[in-house]
Amino acid sequence: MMPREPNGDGLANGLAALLRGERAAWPGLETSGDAFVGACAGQDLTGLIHRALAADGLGWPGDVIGRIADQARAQVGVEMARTRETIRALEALAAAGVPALVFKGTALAHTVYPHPSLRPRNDTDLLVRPADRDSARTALEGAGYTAVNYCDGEVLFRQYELQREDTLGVVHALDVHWGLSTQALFADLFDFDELEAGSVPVPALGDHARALGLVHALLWACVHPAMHHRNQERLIWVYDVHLLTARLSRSDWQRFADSAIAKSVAAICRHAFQRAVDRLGTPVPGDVLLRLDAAAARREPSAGYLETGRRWGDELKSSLRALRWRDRLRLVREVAFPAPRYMLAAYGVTGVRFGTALLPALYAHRGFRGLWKVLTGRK
Amino acid sequence: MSSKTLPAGARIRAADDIMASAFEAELVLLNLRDGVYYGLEGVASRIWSLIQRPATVADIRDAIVAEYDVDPKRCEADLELLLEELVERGLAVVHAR
Repeated sequence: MMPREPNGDGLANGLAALLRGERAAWPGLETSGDAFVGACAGQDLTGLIHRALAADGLGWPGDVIGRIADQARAQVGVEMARTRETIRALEALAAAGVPALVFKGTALAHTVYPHPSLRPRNDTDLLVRPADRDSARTALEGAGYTAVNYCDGEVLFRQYELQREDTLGVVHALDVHWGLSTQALFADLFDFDELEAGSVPVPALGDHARALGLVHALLWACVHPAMHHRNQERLIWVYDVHLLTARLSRSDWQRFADSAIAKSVAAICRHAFQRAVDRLGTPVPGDVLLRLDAAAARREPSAGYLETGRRWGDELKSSLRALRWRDRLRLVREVAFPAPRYMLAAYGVTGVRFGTALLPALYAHRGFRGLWKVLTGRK
Repeated sequence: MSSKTLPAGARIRAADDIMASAFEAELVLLNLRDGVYYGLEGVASRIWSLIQRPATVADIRDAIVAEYDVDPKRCEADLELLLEELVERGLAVVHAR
């Protein structure tokens, strides 16, 4: 077992204590009702904190408990709409013969959380084979989805976003990925066939729903904050790791360690477990930690993503290092010259007469603006 | 609600286009026609399960009295109020006999 390290943030510590099932005294948090309710919403923890306070909210202000309960109930309503729509989208893909895997928040909500509304998210992430990405888009557009202006690209983002507003006014966003990451170093961590082989059915999302299996889902949950969010800590992501680890069998743990080491993400996974231990007291087998420690000592390239203060340029450099020369040039081209469709929409001149004639100026403006942001540390 | 609107012997059932999800100690209902959600707790949640098929007030009253320690007359009066409210909010319908 790893020792837990304290953290100086009182509100975050209070939220973590409630997630651990411990009593957190309201006066000890030294915060206002507004700040607490806002922190729960901002960290996507409202439902989980509602559960904790329903079990033991002695001494807590009734107003705070009531507001949290109201918001948690509203999330249940939204979740019902989301679930219905996800089933609809998956049925459209299945009817078009496009296999898809659900991953990230939606998958976890329906596989490891006690109720799906306890894992709020803004979108549903789907993984398809690279060869199926156009068929997936056609099928989803046929189901009423429309494309969001997105700076896409074969090497850059490996995903597109589609949205649909349902009759209740709820906007449903689908992120369709054909690679697992926007970062080249991680994009080929797993291919679709490998993930599909280990996938599990999700009956709550219909007959066609399959999600990443536990081992792959945990690997993704460990890597995700470093890979896409500059190693930002959010308690809901730590809780994802906490819930996933609780379901692993002895053999699952060994397969997890084998995979993390083989994929050269042992240091990142070790870091994610330390967070889960510090925050939530997550039990992690000692032999697994020793194996990850030994592998992490070999200085994996991915460990660079754990460094603090990383910026856009660092991520671009990491991606360039992970690519072959031909793909490096392609990535630079995609960063510097996104698709004309994206540029016209981004500058609000889609459909404007002679809009395409403006493209050279738009590219030049984008280039100077981006360079300025990088030089001034804003990117 | 104070006026009695349910016809004698009426059969009540949950309306179509209502989604329900058990969450903690309550049942959250979402009306798919207008997007309004409601929370039902305790006996009300049990009554919701009893009107998944058309049932008369007497049917429901008998089931509740058998399960809970409650006076039948008091139960029937409260039950009628709840059912009327469910009908008024479009969550339940008076089923054609």
